Amino acid sequence: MRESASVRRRFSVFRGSPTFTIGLSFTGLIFLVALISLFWSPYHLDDTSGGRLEGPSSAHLLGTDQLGRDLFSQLIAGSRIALTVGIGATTIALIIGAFLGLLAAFFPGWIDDTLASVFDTLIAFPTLLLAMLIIAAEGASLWAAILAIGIAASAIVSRLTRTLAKRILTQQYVVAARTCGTSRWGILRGHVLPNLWPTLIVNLAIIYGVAVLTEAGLSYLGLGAPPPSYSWGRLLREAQSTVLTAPLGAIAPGIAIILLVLGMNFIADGLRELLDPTQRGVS
Amino acid sequence: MARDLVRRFIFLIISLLVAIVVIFLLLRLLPGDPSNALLSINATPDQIAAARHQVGADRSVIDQFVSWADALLRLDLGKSYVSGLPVLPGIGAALLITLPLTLISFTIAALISLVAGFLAAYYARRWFGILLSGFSQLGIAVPVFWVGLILVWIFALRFGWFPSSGFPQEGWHTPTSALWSLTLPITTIVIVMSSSMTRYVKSVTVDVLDSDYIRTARSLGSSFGEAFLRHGMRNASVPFISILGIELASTFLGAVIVESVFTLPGLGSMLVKAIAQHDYPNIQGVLLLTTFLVLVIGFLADTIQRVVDPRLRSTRFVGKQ
Repeated sequence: MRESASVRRRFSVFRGSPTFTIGLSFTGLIFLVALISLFWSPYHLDDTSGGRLEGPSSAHLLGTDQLGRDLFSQLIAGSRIALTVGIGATTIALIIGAFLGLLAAFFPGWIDDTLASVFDTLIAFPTLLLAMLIIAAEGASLWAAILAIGIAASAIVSRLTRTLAKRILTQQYVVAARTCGTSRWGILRGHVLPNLWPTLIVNLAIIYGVAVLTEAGLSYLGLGAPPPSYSWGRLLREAQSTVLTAPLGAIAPGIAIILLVLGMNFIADGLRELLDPTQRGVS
Repeated sequence: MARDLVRRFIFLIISLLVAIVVIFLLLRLLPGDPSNALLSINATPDQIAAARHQVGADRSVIDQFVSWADALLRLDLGKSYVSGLPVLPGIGAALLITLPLTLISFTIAALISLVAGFLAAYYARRWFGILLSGFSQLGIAVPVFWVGLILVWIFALRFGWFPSSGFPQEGWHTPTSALWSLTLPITTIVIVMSSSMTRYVKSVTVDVLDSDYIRTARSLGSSFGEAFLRHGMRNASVPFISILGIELASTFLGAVIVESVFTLPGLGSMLVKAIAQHDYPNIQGVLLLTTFLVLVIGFLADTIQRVVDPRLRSTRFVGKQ
C-alpha cells in the first residue's frame, strides 16, 4: 500500500501538468531514437547500396539521398548531434552564466556595474550572429558551434542569475542569516542556490531549444559541423536541391527539429507551472 | 528625462565601442589567419609572407586595430580580400534587399500579431483562442529556413507561381519582378515572426484584461471597449514597444537566414559567403552594421517607452515602489 501511494505521488507530477508530460514525451522520443542509434541503424551511414533519390519504401522509410544513402539512418544519426549540441551549449551557458551572475550579485559596486553592462551589451547581440562571429574565426566544426552557442547564451543566464540572486539577497531570511553570522558561502548554499534553481532550470530548457535551432541554422548555412556529420540542418541544406523529387527528405528533419524544440519548450512551461505553486491551474 | 536620455545615449556609445573592439579582436585572437583568403593550398612561404603583409597580419594586433579604427572613423571599411572591391558600397547594395525584406515582413507580422494576440487573449477559453495560442507556440520551435524550404517546394517548384530563388538583375528598376521575388521570403518571415509575436502580445493582453484598473473602469460603467481603449491600450503599449524592438531585431536576423534559402544577394548572403571565404573586411563590415542597427533599435525602443510611460523616466521612483 505504502509503495503504491509513493508511486502515485511520484506520477502525480504528470497529472499536475499535461504540458510537462507532452514535452517529456516529445523529447523522450528523440532521446530514445538517439540511444537506439548508438547500437543500431537500418543502414550504415556510408552505405550507398540504395538507388539514387529513391522514394520512400519498406527498405528505405524516407527514401535515399543523391548518393543512394538511406535518409532515415541519417535522420536518426542527426538526433545525436542535436542532443549533444543542446546539452553542451546549455552546460557551457550554465557554468559561465551562473558564475558571472553570482559574482555580480555578491559583489555590488564596480564589479557588479561592469558585469551588468557587459551582459546588457551581449544580450543585445543575437545568439546566431555571435555564433557566426566565433565560427568565422575558429572555423566550422561541431565543437565551435557548441562553444559559440554556449557563450552567446551565457549572457542570458548571467543576467537572469544576477537579477534573481540580487532579489533573494534582499529577502528578510537572508538578512536574518547574515545577522546570525552565516558566511557568504553559507548564504549561497543555504538560501541563494535553492531559491535560484527553479527559475534557472526553466530558462535552461528554453535555451536548450534555442541551441538546437541555432545549430540547425548554422548547419543549414554551411557553418556547422562539416560532413560527414549528419546534423538536421545539414540534411535540410542537402534536401533543398532535391525537394521536388524527394520531399520527405526536406520534411522529416524539419519535423524532428520542431518536435525536440517544442518538447523542450513544453517542458519549460510545465516546469514553470509545477515549480511555482501560484501558477498552478492558471494556464 | 533629459539627463536620463543623455545617460542612455552614453551607454549606447559605449556598447558600440565595445562591439567594435570585440568584433575586431575576436577575429584576430582566435586561431585562423586572414591571409588564408588570398592563398591557394600549395602556396610557397614567400607567397604566404607577401599575403600576410598585404592584409597586415605581420603587424601587431594593436597596430592593426589602430589603422582599422582610424579608417573606420573616415567611414572606410576597407576592401574585400577576395574581390578587392570596397566593403561599404557592397553593404549598401546588399541593404537594398535586406532592408525592404525586413521592414515589409516586420510591418505585416506586427499587424497580424496585434490582432491575433488580442483575439487569443480575449477568446482564451474558446477553441478559436486556443487555436491561435497553438499557432503562437509553433513560431518559437519552427526553423525559419525550413518554412522557406517548404514554401519553395509548394509555391515555386510544384505550382510555379513564384521564382524559387534569386533577385532580378535590374534590381528595383523592375519593381514588380523585384517584389515578386521577395513575396515568398516575406511570407516565410511573416509566418514565423507573427507567430512568436502573437505569443507576447497575448500574454501582455491577458495581463491587461485581468488588471484592476480595467475592472474598476468597468464597475464605474465604462463599456469593455471604452475601458480597453482608454486604460488598457496605454498600459499595454509599454511592453508592446519593448517587444516590437526585440522582434524588429530578430526579424532582421530572420532575413539574414531567409536570404540564403532564396539566394537573395542581401546582407545575410554576403556574411555567409564572407565567413566561408575568410574575407575579414566583409565579415567585420556586415557584423558592425548589424550590431549598430540592433543596438540603435534597442535604444529607440527604450526611449519611446519612457516617452509613453512617465513611471519609467526616473529610476529612483521605480526603486521606491
